[in-house]
Amino acid sequence: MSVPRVTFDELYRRSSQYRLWSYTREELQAKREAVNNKGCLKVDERLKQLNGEVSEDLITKVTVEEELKLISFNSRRIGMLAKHLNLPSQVRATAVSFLRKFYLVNSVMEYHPKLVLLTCLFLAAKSENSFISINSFSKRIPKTTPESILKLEFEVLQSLKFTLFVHHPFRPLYGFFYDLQDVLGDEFTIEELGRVYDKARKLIDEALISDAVFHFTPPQIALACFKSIKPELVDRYLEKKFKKESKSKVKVAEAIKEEQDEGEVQDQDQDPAKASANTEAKPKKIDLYQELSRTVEECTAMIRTTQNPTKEEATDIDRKVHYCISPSLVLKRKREDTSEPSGDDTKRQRTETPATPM
Amino acid sequence: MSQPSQFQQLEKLGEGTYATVYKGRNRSTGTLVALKEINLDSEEGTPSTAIREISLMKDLKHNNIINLYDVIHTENKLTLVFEYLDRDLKKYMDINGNHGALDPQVIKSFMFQLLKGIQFCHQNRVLHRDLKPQNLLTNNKGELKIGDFGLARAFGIPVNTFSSEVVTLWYRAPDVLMGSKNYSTSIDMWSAGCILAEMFIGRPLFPGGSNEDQLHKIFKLMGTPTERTWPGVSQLPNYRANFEMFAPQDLRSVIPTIDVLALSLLTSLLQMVPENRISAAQALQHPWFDEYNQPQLVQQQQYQQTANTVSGVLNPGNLGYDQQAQQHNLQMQQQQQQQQQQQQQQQYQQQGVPVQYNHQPQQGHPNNNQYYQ
Repeated sequence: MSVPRVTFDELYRRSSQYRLWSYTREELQAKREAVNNKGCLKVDERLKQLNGEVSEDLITKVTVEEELKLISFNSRRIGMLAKHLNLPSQVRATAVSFLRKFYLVNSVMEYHPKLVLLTCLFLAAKSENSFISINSFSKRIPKTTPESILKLEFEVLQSLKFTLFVHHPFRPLYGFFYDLQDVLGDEFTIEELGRVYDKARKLIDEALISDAVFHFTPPQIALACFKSIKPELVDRYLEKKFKKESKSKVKVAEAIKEEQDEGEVQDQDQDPAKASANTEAKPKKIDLYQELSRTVEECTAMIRTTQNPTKEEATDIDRKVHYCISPSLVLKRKREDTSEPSGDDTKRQRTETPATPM
Repeated sequence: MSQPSQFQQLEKLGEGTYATVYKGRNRSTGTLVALKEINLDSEEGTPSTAIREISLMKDLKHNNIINLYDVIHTENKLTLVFEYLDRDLKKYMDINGNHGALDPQVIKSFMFQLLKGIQFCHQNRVLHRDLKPQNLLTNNKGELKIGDFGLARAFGIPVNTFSSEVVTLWYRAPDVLMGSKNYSTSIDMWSAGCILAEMFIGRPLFPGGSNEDQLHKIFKLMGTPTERTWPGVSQLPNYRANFEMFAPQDLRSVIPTIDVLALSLLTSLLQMVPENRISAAQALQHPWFDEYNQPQLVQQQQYQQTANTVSGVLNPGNLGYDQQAQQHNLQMQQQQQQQQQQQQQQQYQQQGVPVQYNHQPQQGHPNNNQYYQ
């Protein structure tokens, strides 16, 4: 075909999601460590400002892992809240994306996620065209005011580097659902494919909380969601579509090779599944089928490791974060503890307060 | 993140859809910018129109779309810092046109660039919804870029919940004028057709004064639609059985200067039935643009006569496009481009447009390079 065409993959490569928010595993880890470091320094600074009134050993800073758990926990809360407010899944997914990106720039010890998540959800509703007025938004969420939600809006915008356009796996999943019917219609019934689709769509919510979103493209995540529900379906699909040396496949492989000679990676086929893992340079000789299978397998494994901390775990981290952000509250607690020596139970109850869901 | 003081505010450029735009100068670099100031006195925080424009402009990075450099926040306002271009297409036509009408070669270059910008929006599932000469910006290099995405929005499928009160009346598609809310990319293609015609005649093609007048003017030239010519038209909310009946006219009756190929493209754009309107991607492949798409064919003859190559001289008005041709015929292309550039230079000089030379190592239309960077 002589007509130059921009493929979905190329389009994706020009998106801010790819340009600014896709990393190698090492880069992502380094980012989180840097953010955690920044958070710890912030806590030190706060303690210093209190002129030693609060001794350092009363405050427990949180680790990178703990930050992650708390963010995951609050990402799930966005899901519940969005359902409560009847917001579409696109808004919910975008809000989760905002929250998780925010914490690649800021530490939970700087901004508490339970506040940030509200701002993210409100902002996501605006940017996804599901506008809800701040008053009715705030009214339906206990213990909030319009000011408390809007206060962080610019912090969030700035942390997101004003990139608000998020690509989610929902649309590719739907596209693959059609293509699966087309390619495997004689092996699986529509009813069966439909059931798998419904489950895979629910699984996207999990995937959005996993690190897959920082390493893989939305179509890859969509395929991985299918694969998590019914592995043989995706295996068959990739096999049938890419394994045999079909004419088109040879052409595609040639095209890819040609472009590599130019030092560029582009797909000539429209199929978005062929987007390779963001983070890897393609080898010179490429077996498309193996490459794809491996990428989808990796992505599937990553979705499986999505964190789902228990409420107790989250509460525990939450308490630490609470005092990291407001160290002087420790003194208040101490005073109350000493005036009520019967102690332990009261203390537990009190310290849990910050974590109570709104 | 820039500081507000980094920019010196110059004269007011105009009122946007929800903001005031000033010319500005970066104090440290001297670069001119357009500063779009948005008041933040809204109770809702940052206005959702601003949020949407920021969202789209941050992701729509393309040579034919105005670049959003930065967003600056001060206590009570938000300033979007945009790329500055010398003037909008309306002003360009007033200054450079013959009673507004432009040279066909310039029209072709502008139209190709406009379609490239629209194509990119549509590929990213974004409708502009407000294309008009005032929203298209040009510079002395002959570049054209789409600006003002205040009314743009991302579309999904289905697209049936959009407000029908969007596009500036004169460039508004007949289906939208008749109250269709189920519109999609074809809405921008109608506007593109109106703009193409306007560049040829120097004034708006359908300068309607009201919704009815707008439809009347369209029908008078394009013919009044009936169930036979447009199945389903009578179901549209603003359809009237007593619309005055007109037969379609030859477009050359109002645009006598148009050449056959340009007329063919215009006809494909100004289709009454939205589904029949050509897409941006198709329009870019129209034979009218052959000299950009297949320069090796069009210019083979000229190539024979071309002197030794002067490497990498590229005129932005020169729109060599075909990727594969570029891969295979780099050397040949350079020579062709030089040739084409000389022609264009003459044309631009006739028009009084100063020609600037950009020394660019890459081949082809400047637009194409960005895809692969």
